[in-house]
Amino acid sequence: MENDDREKVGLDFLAEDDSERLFGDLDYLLKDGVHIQNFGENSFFYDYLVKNHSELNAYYLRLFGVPLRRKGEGSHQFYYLDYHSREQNHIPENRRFTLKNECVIMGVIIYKIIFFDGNLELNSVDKLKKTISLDYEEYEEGLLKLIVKSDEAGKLADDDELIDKMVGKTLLEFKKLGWVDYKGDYFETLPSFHRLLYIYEDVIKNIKNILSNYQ
Amino acid sequence: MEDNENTDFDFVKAINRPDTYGLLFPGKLEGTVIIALYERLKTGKYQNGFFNEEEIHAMFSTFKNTSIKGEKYYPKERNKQRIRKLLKYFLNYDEEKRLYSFQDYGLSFCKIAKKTLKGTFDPTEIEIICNNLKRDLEEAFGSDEQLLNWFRVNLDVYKTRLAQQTEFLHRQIDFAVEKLRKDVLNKQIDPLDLLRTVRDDLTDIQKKNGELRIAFEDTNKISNTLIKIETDNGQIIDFIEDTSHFFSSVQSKLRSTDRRLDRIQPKIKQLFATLRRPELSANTDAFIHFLLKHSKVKRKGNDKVVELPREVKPFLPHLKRPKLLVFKRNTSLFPTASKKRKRYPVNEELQRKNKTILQETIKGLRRIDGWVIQLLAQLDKDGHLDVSQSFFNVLEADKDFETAAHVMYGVIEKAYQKKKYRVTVLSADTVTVENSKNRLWKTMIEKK
Repeated sequence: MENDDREKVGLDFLAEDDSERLFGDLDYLLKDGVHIQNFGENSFFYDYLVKNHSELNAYYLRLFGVPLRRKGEGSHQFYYLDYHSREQNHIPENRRFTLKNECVIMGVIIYKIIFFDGNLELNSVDKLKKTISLDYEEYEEGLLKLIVKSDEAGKLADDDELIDKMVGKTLLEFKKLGWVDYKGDYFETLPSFHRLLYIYEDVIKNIKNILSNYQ
Repeated sequence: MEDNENTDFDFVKAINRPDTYGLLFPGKLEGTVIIALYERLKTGKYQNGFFNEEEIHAMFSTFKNTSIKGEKYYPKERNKQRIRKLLKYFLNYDEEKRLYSFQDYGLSFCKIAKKTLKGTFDPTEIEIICNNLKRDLEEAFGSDEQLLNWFRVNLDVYKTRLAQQTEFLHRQIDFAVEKLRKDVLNKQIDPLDLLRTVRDDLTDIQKKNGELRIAFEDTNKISNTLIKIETDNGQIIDFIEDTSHFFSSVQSKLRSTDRRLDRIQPKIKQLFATLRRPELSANTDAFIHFLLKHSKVKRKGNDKVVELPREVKPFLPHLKRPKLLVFKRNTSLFPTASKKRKRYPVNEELQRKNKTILQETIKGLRRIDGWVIQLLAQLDKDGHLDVSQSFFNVLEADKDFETAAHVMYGVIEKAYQKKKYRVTVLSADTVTVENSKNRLWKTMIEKK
């Protein structure tokens, strides 16, 4: 009788040995927003996800209303629970964990520096901070307004430090999400870092129209 | 060894003598002409290495536009003057043949410049050098004098060559990555072509690095042999230390080249995905400007928070987890204080009253249980049960709304807990009986 029930919701995979070993911890990671890819100690979870993706997706979709997405190609695939895309209105305010908007902005800037401007070997956090403050003057005014939260003209050393701190904080938040590897002065983006662009893909595609509404 | 050279010679003073530096290191035009002649010489264009003055003038003529501005006609006299200067170190003039050829300095000058720029890569040569070094070292083993010779002569000659090869690959990566960065910013180049070239370059470097690593394998054996040398000779001990350090730095450079490539290559693949869409790059830049310009700082309590423009939803990566707080009372730190036992006098009247109420309640509960058991037995027998109708039956029999309600919930609960039954509540369909003020949703239990 029990087996019949399990079959109906496609939960047979939970009875397998590797589920017993991995599912519990993986479930915690996914529900904490961690993106799983073939990197470091999460590689075991990655293999398990590759094997059981469709069943796990059905499981999370049916019981939690959240799809388990797979993005990226080949060895750069990554998996995550997509809380962001689903209708958020019914989620009570006090249960939502939203990433600080400053981190979102800083993240897109870091993405641009590395992937669109081809800074492939940028692995030093110090160098990243310097690059942002010295090579991207066009963002300075906006960063002063949103990160330093100052309307004053002119940047002081303390302002630079605040922006630097936000770079560090952003990398730390991204590390928690499994988007980057980050330790000391070293950082490296991981395949799931591309999620950032997927999140705002619709806005980015449509940016010209959106901007025209602001003129 | 360089260090042991005759120290009487003052190189700096010598090069500062009049007409020395400028003649050893010619200007751009003269240098370019010499290099062009050298390249032609290398392709075998000049028989026996000789060429005529016309040829030199032709070279001056070819490169004049790019080098010297303002010379509208060919300045033969001026160039003859330039050629005269080159005769000091770079070229020879053979009066009998009336032809020119390269001096040793000219050849070496071009050779070194070419090697530095192009970077010659020859793992086979490295392999041979390492192999010879290993063999010579084995032969020198046991004799301090021969060992010193090995360090001073055999090894020192090749040290630069060995280091140069690993440096070369490292520099190649620098070039490839820098080129990529510059060309990415130059939006006119087809990104796909660009990436393909860079990726191929890097794959080539990786292959070369692999070959080089194999070529350097003998250096491990040399290091091992060096460790085994037992000597009290301070000079040899210093040499051993220097050499071990040198080989380990070469090996570490090779390893770091591999690591660098391992890190870059996945990113190249990722770049393919993003650069395939140049519009995405422009739009992302516009998106950043949009975020920076139209996000607002709002005050929220004591904090200032950033609000994104209304079109941009804040990123919700996950939901908050309930926080589980565990309170632990360490009994050794907080021993429970002993309390005086309090005695309560027994109120027999109250006790009797409570007993009656309790008995009534138990009776009521038994009654409910009885009904539930009876209805479930009926359900088991018939395979279905109209719970709403049963409610009215119980109400009719017991004349107690509370009992009927408890019975109804009890039956539904028990049935729901068993997998074999399905409970259906039809909110669109209501049930009532004559003279009753109550109306219920039709509730049915069926066997699956």
